Amino acid sequence: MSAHEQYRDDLALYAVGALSSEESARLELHLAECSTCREELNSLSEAAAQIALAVEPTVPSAHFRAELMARLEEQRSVAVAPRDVRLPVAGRQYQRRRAWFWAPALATLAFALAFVAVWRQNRTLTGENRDLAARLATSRQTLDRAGELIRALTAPDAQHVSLVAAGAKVQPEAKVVYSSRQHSLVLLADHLNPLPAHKIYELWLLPANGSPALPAGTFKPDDRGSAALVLSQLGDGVAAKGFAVTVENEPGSAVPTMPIVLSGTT
Amino acid sequence: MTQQLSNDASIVARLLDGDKEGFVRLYDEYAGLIYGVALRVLRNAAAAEDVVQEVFLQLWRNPTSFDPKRGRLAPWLAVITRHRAVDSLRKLKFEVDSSETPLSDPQASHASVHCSAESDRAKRLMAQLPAEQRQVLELAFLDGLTHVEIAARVSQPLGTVKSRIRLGLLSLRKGLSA
Repeated sequence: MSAHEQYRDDLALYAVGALSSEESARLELHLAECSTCREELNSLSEAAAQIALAVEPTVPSAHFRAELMARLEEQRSVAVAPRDVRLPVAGRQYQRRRAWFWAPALATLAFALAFVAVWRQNRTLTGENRDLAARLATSRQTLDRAGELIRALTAPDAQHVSLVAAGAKVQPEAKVVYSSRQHSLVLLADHLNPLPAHKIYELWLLPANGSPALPAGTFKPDDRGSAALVLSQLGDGVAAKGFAVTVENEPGSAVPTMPIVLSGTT
Repeated sequence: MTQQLSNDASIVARLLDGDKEGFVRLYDEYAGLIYGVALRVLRNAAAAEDVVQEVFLQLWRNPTSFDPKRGRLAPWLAVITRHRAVDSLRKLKFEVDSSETPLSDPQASHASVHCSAESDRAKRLMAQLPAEQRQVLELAFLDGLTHVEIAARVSQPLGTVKSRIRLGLLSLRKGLSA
């Protein structure tokens, strides 16, 4: 069974890491629900690994090797210290000879130490679990609320109603809510003109520092001229002085093509 | 392949036991592959060494991050190294100095037996691809470019770049199953 036709190219691009973060996020939403596309992606990823495997191997310097091994010792001594503790040979023999004498006391001491260690670890873990559970619950609530909002915005039967001054002529319009800190953007558009074949509306972020416009997602209106775009991982937190919409060839362009059909400043 | 699976599984088992000898063997077998990939992506020896260290220490601290049932160790190491190197490339955004790292280093020695067997097959598969497919695959996977950036770099329409990437991957996949 083949993957969904409309995701065919994107799966290959995703496998080699060639999608933008927004495009990846959109595909991941689909992957979360589609086992066929996940399987296709797995096999394409295995093929993509060949690109890296074909790189000429280069052995790092002996100095680097020695440093890494030393680093390993440090990590090991922290991580598995009790297992690594070894007495000098003479000491070990002495300990074996006298072991019967000290055995009960050592056993009691060992049990007490182990008990304290387990109790402390348990107490820490319990605290961490409680903390994690609380954070998880908060995250779930936030996620549920975000999910409800996105479902409401993008539902096929969602009614977009624009209120204008009585008697005013209805014009294409869009509203953008953007948070550079949250890397998130919501666009709601209405009364958009239908697009010619193989064309798409593209949103552009106009950076506050005056650098060139950045692509911020593409969208197509439904048969009522409405569209919604929700991006949760947009760019590098660039501050915006405004947004603009152009019509581009599918699947979108890296630079805007004039004319601008909608624009607005913050 | 079954032999390989058991080799990979035994490496993980040795690391789980905290077996330093096992780690040293792992390093000697795969360091060439990992450093080679990191160096190709980053083109900077110090940054590539940082990636190599991260990859090996990750395996040492958490050997079960590799699951032998889900694939072989060499491709897995190559891919996680590539991901870390590309992340590092994007974060650091340092000046690429292609003169610092000769891509065909005359001092480079091949990694040992089964790693180089995998590497040889991958080289053969890549060499069989049309040059334009190989180019876009490398620009994406090893230079960390998006399809839009690749289109600009090779002065080709996006659609052409997408189809070259897809066709290239399909050929590699076919070669793997042959």
